[in-house]
Amino acid sequence: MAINGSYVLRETTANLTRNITLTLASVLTVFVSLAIVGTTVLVIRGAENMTRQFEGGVEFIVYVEPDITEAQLAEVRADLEENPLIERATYVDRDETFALFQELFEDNDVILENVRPTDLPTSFKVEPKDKSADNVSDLATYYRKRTNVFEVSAATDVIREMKGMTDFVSRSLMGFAIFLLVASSLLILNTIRTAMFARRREIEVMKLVGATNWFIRVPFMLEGLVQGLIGGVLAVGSVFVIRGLIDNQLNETSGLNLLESFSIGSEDVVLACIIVISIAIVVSVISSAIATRRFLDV
Amino acid sequence: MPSASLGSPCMIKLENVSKVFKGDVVALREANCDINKGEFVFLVGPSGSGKSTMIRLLNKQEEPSTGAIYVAGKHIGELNSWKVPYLRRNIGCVFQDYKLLSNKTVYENVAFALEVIGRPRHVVKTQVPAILELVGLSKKHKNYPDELSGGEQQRVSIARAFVNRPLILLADEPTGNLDPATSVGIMRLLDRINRTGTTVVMATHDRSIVDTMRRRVIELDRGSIIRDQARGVYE
Repeated sequence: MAINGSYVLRETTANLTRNITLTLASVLTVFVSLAIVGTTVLVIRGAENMTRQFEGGVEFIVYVEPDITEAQLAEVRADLEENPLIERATYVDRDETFALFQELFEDNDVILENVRPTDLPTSFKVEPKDKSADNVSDLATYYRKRTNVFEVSAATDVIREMKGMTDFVSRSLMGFAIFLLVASSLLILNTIRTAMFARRREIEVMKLVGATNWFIRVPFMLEGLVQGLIGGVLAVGSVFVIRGLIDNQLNETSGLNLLESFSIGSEDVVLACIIVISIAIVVSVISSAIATRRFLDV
Repeated sequence: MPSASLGSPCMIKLENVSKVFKGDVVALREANCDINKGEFVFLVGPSGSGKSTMIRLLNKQEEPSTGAIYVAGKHIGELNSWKVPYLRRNIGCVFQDYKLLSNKTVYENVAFALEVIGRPRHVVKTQVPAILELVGLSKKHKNYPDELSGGEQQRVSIARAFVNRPLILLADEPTGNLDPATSVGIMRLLDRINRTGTTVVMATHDRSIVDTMRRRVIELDRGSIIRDQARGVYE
């Protein structure tokens, strides 16, 4: 059946403004819970990025001096490859390093413009035979003191601990967010129920003159959806703010360190926003569907 | 549904209809009757005799416990729930308490009935003034219900029930809150609507109206039809 657009618009707006305090309560809980969800997604992605280089058994990375000669480089390579404690050492050349660098700092134009491939240290990804923390730490200390080595980054206990901590933090945040999401869906449900109760006389008349259930439901369901979406959009805004805060923090502390950098890329932010908006839509549609279904049975 | 009704003169048919509420309260017991297209029928009887229940069964506000109800040839008990609104578009309803929306003007109250069944705006713009003219309220279309007398409010409610030109008009004690003189005006209006071919079923306690109109009378007592008389009187 034809649903008159201006009718739906008028009714939905009237519903939203009629009970402004309840509407605000719903919008704010949706906002807060989804902001937490968005932040959690950023934290998880950031932690994944941080440990991305320590994949496939790579336990530490030896950076060589940026201005090293071919002969010196060969020396370092031999030093690594002839060490009986090392399974494999893979050289990451200048192009690869620069590509990785560009990926990590893709949103930071200032850094990208001012750094040339030759400024970056190339490196060896090292996979030791014995991957125990003690052994890795010993090896890292040994290579740190060798000539022509600029820096050694190890997947040390610190990184392992940080990974464990981000896991714990993101899990707790997610649990917290789930409780808040339940609260927000109940609030949306109640807001719609209140709106329908306030208009029970109209609904009664509508049913008596033969309005279809969908015609009666649509403005109320849209009311719920709009509440969810406003909350979701605010949460998306907060995701951007939080991302900015994290970036500032990182720029201050870690500078150009390619490793151990807790970085968040644009695709992570987009992912967080998509998740936030989808949850907003799903939660609000489900709660308004339940609310309108239960109160239309006459 | 209007086309289906043309073949058969029978607009409403009750077959052994009973309605038992919770706690074994029998509101209607084995009721049988046929009401033809264009008839005017009074349902009379004391309070609690089952008049309102019968009205509420006809537009599917209630389901019968047993028996079958046909409206315009359709067994309404077998109607899908999504089709019920379309049944109700053919059945206008008038109540003792008018059920007008106090935040809407006379015009808006009547237009509401057309808007919510998706009638286009140009239909609303032509039908609403025409029906307000019919019930004699053209001059008060901008007033709100609480600015009107009881009789005027009931006229608005009749206009709303009839604006979609239903096949059937159900009226549950439409004069119950009105003084005798005003009631006569309401009955003239219902009579006029009946003359357009609309079947009217009216539940009432009002002896003088029934005795004056001399139409078919169905009398109920404790849920049973005890009299069904053409051109009858109240008792």
